[in-house]
Amino acid sequence: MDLRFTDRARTLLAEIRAENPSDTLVILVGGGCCENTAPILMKNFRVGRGDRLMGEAEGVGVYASTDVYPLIEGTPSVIDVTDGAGAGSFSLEVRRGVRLTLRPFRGSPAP
Amino acid sequence: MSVTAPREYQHFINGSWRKSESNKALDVLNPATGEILTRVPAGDSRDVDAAVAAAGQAFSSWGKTTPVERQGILLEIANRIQKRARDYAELESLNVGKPIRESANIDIPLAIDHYRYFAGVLRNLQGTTQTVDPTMLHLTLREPLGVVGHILPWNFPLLLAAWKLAPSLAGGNTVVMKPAEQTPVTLLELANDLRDVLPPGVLNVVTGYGPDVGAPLASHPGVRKLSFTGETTTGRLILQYASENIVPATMELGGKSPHIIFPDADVERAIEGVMIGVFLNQGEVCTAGSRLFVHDAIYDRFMEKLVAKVKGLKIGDPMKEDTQLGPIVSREQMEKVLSYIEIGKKEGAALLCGGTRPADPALSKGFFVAPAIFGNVKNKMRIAQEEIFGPVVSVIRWSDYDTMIAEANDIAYGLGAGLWTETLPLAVKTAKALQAGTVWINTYNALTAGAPFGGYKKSGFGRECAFDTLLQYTQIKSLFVSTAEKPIGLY
Repeated sequence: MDLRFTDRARTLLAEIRAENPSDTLVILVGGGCCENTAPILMKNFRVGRGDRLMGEAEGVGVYASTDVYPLIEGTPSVIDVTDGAGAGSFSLEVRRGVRLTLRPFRGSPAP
Repeated sequence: MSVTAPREYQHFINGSWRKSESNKALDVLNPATGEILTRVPAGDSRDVDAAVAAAGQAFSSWGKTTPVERQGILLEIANRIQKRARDYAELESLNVGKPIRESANIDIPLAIDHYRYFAGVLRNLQGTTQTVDPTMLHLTLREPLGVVGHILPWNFPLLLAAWKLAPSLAGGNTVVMKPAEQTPVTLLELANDLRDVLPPGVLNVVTGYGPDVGAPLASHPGVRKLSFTGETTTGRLILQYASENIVPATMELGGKSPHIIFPDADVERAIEGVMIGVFLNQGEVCTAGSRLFVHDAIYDRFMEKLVAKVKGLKIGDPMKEDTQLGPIVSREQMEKVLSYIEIGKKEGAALLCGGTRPADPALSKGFFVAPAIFGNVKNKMRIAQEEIFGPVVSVIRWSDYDTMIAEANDIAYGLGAGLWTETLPLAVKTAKALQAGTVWINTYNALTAGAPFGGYKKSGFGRECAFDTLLQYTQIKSLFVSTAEKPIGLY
């Protein structure tokens, strides 16, 4: 699918990648209570057989769960970073006071 | 308003405030103003270690208390909350942004009632007996598990803490709780108010971010059961931690609940039910009736009335008694809700009202979103399938019963469902056909202690609020007792 990363997201992922050199890092987009469809950056998470790879940046694979992938695959999307940690997320970046987000891409479609 | 939060909290570990080993803190905001309400520790694994150690130490005596003793203590917890009920309600509204009429009339009274309910039913925590043969009896004992780890969401902080804390204590367990970092105030207040009620270490509260506090708690080898309410991916992560230590877990992971209007519905009541379904707590409710199926025969009339009512909702300062909708819990959540409004428009749904930040300058610093109704929604659209967790309802027009039921069930989740009809056989048939842990007939979002709450499908497993819950906070010991006077003769 058409998945982009903002420069800010790439920088953030590269920093967290550098801090965790021996760990596997993945982002899984899931949904549900309190967060809606949100990317969660995790260490040493076991990706499941139904999870679909959406893209990759800075050595971090971005997957969507089997239920979420069909919903978002048709929406050109971008992984971005917002200020503020949200509430209650286990995503690794929240301790920096920022939150990864997945939002529709508003520019021109991928070439 | 009579109560304010202190400028700063610490962790509550082993019966008293305790400074965080991390020496870091995080700001807790008032979502109605964007201002700092208080600060709490941004803890780390060392704080979790201390809390689990304290809980483990406390378990050696708490686990041996009698049911009579625990019943008295649970009733006293209820009384303590009751005594400060108005304070708790105001702090909850300040911290979460929910209208005071909701915290004062729903969150706090229901929390109190859960302690009373589990105080009552714990006296029924009994085993079974059977005669195996004339010289052999078998009986079962219900024993506590030990230290239980709870990871809480931000939408009903004190109430969902009660859902987990009351049965844990009733079963004889000790507890380490991690509130959502943005909504820790009422649970910290409660822990402090119970200093002379609970022995030190029985209830511990550690604040901080999910990866720093939640993950070390969920993976801690000293924890014997986990309970989590939150998002599905995080639920999977916590289950992976649970698998490391072979511990059971209760999972409540959200929903996108169908709410069905039949042509013979009592329209006045159904419209109120729809609004209770999706605008209570700004729609930040796991069971929000956010997929509304309205029958073609009454669609136009029903929608006209619904839109008019929703446009008249009072949105504003949650501390005012007549406010019906407060702010979204955080700026990030508000932005996500607004992004779904854009997604819905792009998908071709018709935005019939709301979905913007209110124009009132008095609300400009808070995280407010005007309640939104999307018409012309198809069940496959993202706004019909993804949990938005905000004041947004997606309305689907239906005419064929079987198609409607298939669509209502065509979703990853199965937490709640509601339906409105005056025809009893149709109501029962439909309730049975819906794949959901709770079905409401001619009502919505009703909750009571004693009614099992939990999900089908990817909404999770395990049940809260009921006698079954208490059983899930115990383990069974099977005891064989021989009264034989001679050897069996096998060896």
